[in-house]
Amino acid sequence: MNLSNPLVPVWEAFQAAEDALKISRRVVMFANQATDILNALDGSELETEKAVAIAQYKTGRNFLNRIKMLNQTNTLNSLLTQSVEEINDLFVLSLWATFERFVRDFLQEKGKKNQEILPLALGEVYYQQVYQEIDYWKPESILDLLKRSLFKGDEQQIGLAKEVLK
Amino acid sequence: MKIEFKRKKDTAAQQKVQRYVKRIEYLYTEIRAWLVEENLNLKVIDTHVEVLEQMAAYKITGLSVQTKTGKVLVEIKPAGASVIVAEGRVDLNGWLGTEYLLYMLKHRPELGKPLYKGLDEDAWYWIEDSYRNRAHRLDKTLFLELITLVSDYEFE
Repeated sequence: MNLSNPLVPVWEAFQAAEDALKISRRVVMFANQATDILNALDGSELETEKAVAIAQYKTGRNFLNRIKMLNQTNTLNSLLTQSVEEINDLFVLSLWATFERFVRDFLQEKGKKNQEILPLALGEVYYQQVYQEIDYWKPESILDLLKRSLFKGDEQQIGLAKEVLK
Repeated sequence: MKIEFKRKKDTAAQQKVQRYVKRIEYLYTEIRAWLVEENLNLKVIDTHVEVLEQMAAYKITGLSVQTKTGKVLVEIKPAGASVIVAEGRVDLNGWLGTEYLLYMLKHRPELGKPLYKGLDEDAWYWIEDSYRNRAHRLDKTLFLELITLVSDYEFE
C-alpha cells in the first residue's frame, strides 16, 4: 500500500483551479474594459489611440474565442463567483473522500494479519468478511477508532476531522 | 460594535459571538489606523453583514475599502465565530479573489503538536499555504499585500 500523502494531488489541483479562475477573471475584465473603451470612442481621438483601442478589443475577443461560458456578458461577478463557490465545496468533498478512502485502505491492509489465524480455513474467510465490512463502517466510528489508538495524546486532530465531517 | 442577534442557541453561543466581535472591532481599528498612517488616499465605509452560523444568526458591521473615486478594492466581511482550527474568520473579498483571516490562539504545548508554525500570540493570522502550515500574523504590510492579492491594486 502506498503511504504517501494522498491529499497532496487534490490540494495541488485545487490551487491550480484557483489560479485558473483568477486568470479567467483577469481575461474577462480585460475584454470587458477593451469593449468599453472601443464603444466610448467618438471619432475625435488620435489615430494611434483608435488603433490601440481596436487592437486591445481584438485581443480581448481572441482570448475568449471558442469558450463555452465566459464569453457572455456579466459573467465576471455572477458565473465566475458561483463557480468559485462550487469548486471550493467540491474540493472539500474530494479531500474528505480521498482521506476516508485512504484510512479504509489502511485498515483493510492492517486486517491482513487475520488471514494467519488458525485454523487457516477460518482465517481467510474471516479476513474477507472484515475486509468487506470496513467499507461500511461509519466515518465517525473510524475516527473514534483512530482517536483511541494512533492519535492517543493528540485527540484534538480527530476532533478537527470530525468538524470537517459535519 | 453593535450585534443584532436574530437567533442564538444559548448564552454560551452569545458569549462566543461577543468575543469574536470584540476581536473584529480591534482588527477594524488597526486597519483604519494602517490606512491613515500610509496616507493612501483610500476611504473606509461601514457595511452591514449578516452572519449565519449553526449556533447563531446576527448582523454586524463589515468594511468596504475603496478608492476616492468609489472603486471597491476589498470588502471585509466577518464570516463566523465557529471555524475549524480558529476562533473566528473574516473574509477579504476583492473582484479577483478572496483571502481569509483567522483569529488563532497562541500555541499551547499542553494541546499537543501545533497545527501551524508562526503562532506566537493570540491574533489575526493569514495562512499562506495550508500545505506548508505557515501562519502569518496580520500587520500593515501583509494587509496591503492581501488587498493587492484580491484586487490587483498596486500601492505605489
